[in-house]
Amino acid sequence: MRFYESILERPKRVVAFLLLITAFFGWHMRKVELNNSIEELLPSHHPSVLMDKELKHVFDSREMILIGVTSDDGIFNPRTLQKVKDLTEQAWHITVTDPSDAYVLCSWATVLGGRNDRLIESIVAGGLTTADRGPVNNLLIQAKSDAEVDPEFTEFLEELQLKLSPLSDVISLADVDNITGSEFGLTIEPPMETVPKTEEELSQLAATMFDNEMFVDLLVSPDSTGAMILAELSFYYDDHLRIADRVFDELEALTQPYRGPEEIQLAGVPMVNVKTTTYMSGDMVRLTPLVIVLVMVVMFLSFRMVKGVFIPLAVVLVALVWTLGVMGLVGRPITLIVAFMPVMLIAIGIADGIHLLTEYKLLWAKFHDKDRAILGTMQQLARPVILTSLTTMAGFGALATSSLRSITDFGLFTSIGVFAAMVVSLTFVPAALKLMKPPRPVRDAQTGLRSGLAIGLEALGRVATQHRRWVYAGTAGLALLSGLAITRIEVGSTMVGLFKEDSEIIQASRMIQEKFGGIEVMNIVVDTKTMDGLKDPDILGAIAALQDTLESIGVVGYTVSLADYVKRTNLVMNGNDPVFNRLPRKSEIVTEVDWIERGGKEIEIEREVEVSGRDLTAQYVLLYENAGGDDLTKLADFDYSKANVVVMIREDYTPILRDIMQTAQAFAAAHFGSDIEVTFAGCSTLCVVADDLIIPGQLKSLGTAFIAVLVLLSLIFGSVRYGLVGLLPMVLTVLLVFMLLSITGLRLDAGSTLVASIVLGIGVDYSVHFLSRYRSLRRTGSDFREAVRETMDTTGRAIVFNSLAVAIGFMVLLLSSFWPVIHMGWLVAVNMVLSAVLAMTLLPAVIGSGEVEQPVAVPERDVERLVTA
Amino acid sequence: MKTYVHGTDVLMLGLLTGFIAMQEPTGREVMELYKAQDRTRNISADETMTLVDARGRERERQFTYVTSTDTDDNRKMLIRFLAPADIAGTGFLAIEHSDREDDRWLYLPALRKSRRIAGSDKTDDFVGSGFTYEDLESEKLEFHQYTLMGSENVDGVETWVIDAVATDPQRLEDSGYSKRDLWITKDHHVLIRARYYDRAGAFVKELRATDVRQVPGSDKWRAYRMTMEDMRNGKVTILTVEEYGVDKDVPDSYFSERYLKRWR
Repeated sequence: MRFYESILERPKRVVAFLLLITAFFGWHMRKVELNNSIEELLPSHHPSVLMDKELKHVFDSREMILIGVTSDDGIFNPRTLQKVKDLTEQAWHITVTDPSDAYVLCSWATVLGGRNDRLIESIVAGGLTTADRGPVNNLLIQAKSDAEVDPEFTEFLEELQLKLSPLSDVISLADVDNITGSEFGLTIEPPMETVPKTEEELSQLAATMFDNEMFVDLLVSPDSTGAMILAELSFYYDDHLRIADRVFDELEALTQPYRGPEEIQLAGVPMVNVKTTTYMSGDMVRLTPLVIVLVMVVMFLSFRMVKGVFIPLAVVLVALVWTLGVMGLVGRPITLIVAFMPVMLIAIGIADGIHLLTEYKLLWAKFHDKDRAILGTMQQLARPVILTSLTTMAGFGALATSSLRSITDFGLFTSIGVFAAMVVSLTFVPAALKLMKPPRPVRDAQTGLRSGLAIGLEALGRVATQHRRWVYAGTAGLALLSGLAITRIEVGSTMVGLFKEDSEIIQASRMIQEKFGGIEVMNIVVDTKTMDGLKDPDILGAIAALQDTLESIGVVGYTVSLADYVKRTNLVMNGNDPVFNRLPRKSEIVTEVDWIERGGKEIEIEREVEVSGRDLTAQYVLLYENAGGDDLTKLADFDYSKANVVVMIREDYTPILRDIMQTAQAFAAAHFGSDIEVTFAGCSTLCVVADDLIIPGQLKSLGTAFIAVLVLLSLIFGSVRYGLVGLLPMVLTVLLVFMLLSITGLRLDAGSTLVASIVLGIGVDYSVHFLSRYRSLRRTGSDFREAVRETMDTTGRAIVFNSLAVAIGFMVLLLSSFWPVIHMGWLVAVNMVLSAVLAMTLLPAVIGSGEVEQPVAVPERDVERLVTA
Repeated sequence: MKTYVHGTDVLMLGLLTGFIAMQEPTGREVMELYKAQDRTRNISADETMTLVDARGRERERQFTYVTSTDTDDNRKMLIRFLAPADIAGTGFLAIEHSDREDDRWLYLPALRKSRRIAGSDKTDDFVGSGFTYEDLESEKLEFHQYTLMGSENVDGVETWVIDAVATDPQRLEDSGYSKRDLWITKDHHVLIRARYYDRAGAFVKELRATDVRQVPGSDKWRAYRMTMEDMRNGKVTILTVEEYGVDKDVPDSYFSERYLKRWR
């Protein structure tokens, strides 16, 4: 009590000190970023994550934005083609600079002491436009070579350069490498340089497009009703989410005037992620205040005083700031899962404040002395507040054992938030109560309701203790049903499936998946581990066969690899003879021209000679590079030892993606030599990996949570038996969570997997409160029936209010834009109420069975402290 | 009177010569010095081309080349790759013309075919290296405007810095560059550095020529190592010359499509 007395001696200092800490964390809060990349979900050392990073570097591959231009009466008409051409050209010129960039650049000019004044002046003059790409590039090169230049300036310039040229490539039928043979050998030029006007030219263009297999399903839909423009970002979108977001907006704005009668839609993995971020920020902005308002209303209704609203609210808000501050300090971003930690924290953290204020109000009415009432409150409740915080922290902390990074973060930061709420509750609340006016006695408006509730609870307790067998039978039945239901749960997730049906991104993705090869990309990296290994006709042939195998799967819409380019070159270098629409064989027969002397005259002769297919392949590649083709860097690495096979898929449901991976793996095992390594990368691979980590991760976290909670409960009650009894309702609740998932046909994904842990973390408090009150009543002389009745009337009532408050808080999630969040909202809400009901039926039934009826010796003073609510 | 005039003339001439001696040469004059030293009847070399990517991985090719320049400053060039084995025999022939577009052929031994390369494609990279066909052309003074930007000491060597811009409209249109900056040494008039600016004015490539020596048995100075760095992707192409041969006898028949195809 010394602690609380000293708080009461200098409440202002305590509040000021807490404000200072809050300001410190608030300052670090600004560094917290939103990040939704799938990589954030995964552990950074996972082989697939490493492979994906490697892939991006080796093949210089970056994410694409897909712009689909569709017209029901076909795209091969001058109007639509003109639009495709214009959009392709204009996409090149988009910039996403901020108005402040020019000022920042000017302010750097002064810091640099005039060294680059002229260059900077010329850049800033006329605003930042595409014309400044060159000068900014030059300034950056200068800055990089100058050791005296502040690295921050170089960083700023690098970002400015990205903003000035955010796209590194724009591909469409108006700008793509089309390999054709001509009198000049290999010609590489776009299929459409000027928009054709006559019928003949139009059908010629259509023929050109369908003649090149690499274009169909990618740049033109097989039914000629769609043309695609692929815009490649010049940066990795997860490094610069904000810029990526702007690029998307710019592209969307760019396409607006071109819409109608053609439909123009934007999709692609970066877009889905950027949209997720946009919607997520929207959700946070919308839902967090809503939770706050809802909680304020609930509290005003129960306390009928402003203080009753202000104090618990201040507790959770301060806890929230601390938690976000810690996130900023350790540099962790807010991901889709972590985003709902604030809502959760408000729903959970408010409970401590409610308990403290209820007690204070009661004691003030009794003593009419502020200090006595506050000290009494703290004496009664400090321990339960600490205990329930610890059990909740254990429940959430167990999530840290998950191998999914986002879930680890969610568990850790929610635990930190609960801890912060506890610290603030135990320090700020007494100080604030001391500084504020004492409550006015108010007539209890809810007496009627409360007595109704009391009667109901009393009846529930009576039924539970008198019809134990029924309770046991029901419990066993539920457990059995849950067990059966769990075996039927489907594991799988989809990125696009996160959004509601009517959202633009779903519409766009659907359209592109229907017309073209798909939006989901899988990369299969074939590593021969030898320089120029890919030029071996056998290996190239096996890669082509792998592509054929994959393309026979219905959902695989398109594949491309080095093999396609070599095949195409072979065709056009042999006069487009369809016989040569194949890869070079191990050895090939070619005709050579030679000049020999015959009868003193030099004559020209032709003869057939055998050449190696490997040399032919190597020289085709050289010819392609020489003709200015630059697509190959995306498909083969620098020394032609690794190939990147790009597979486009029309579905993004993980079990389907896993099937494709397994097919490719089986094929590789059978047809590639043991010295060739085949690995998977790309977004779809990462989604599958994330899924594979969910089930074991979830079981591990749950197991850890159960053990941690059991240990805590046993310590609190000084008895393992009591620990087991307290855990029982939680075991059943968790089983029910899985049963609900199964019954409603929901999939086990990153969102739903959390529900069990959330329910466990919050619900275990009910056991703690219930058992504490029951035991203290028994010790003070009440008999079993009386103790249960009294516990139901006091603690039971608090449990009902608490579970309803949490349920209402989580119901707010129903307003989210994401399905997993909506599902999480109602699942937690329903299960919190179920958990409360289970605690109040199972606990009286079990403790009544005599097994744990005998109170365990606990020192008197502890018992007093254990009295709650 | 006559003597007086004569005296004035002498005085004026003296002043003028002194003035010129103190003055820097013009850009064009520097380039003429460079051209005079660069010009040979023919030159041959055995070279190694090393391609280095941004991650430091290397790919090597060996080739031999020979050029011959006629009195109109038109150059013929034959390049033949010797290694790696799968491209050995690949040849490149370029013949410059004063009155029409240059001719360029590429010969691929596995196809037994030579292919003409269109003149408009001179911005394409030569066999995937950092050098474009344009970079391989000989410097044509009459089609460019050269401005002396000043003097600079590059690694201990005094140089003139020249800004070169194409003036010929056709050349300007076909070129991948808006301008080039050239560093010419003051001692032997060798090009030791060049910077290339793309059509948007961005500095995109830098050539550094080092190991400048006098070719044994000749009065010509040459760089034995040339490094072209692409500022956009960090890729570097290094040319190392084993040996130069200046003004050896080279038969004109070397520079024919027929000779190009003669490789076994």
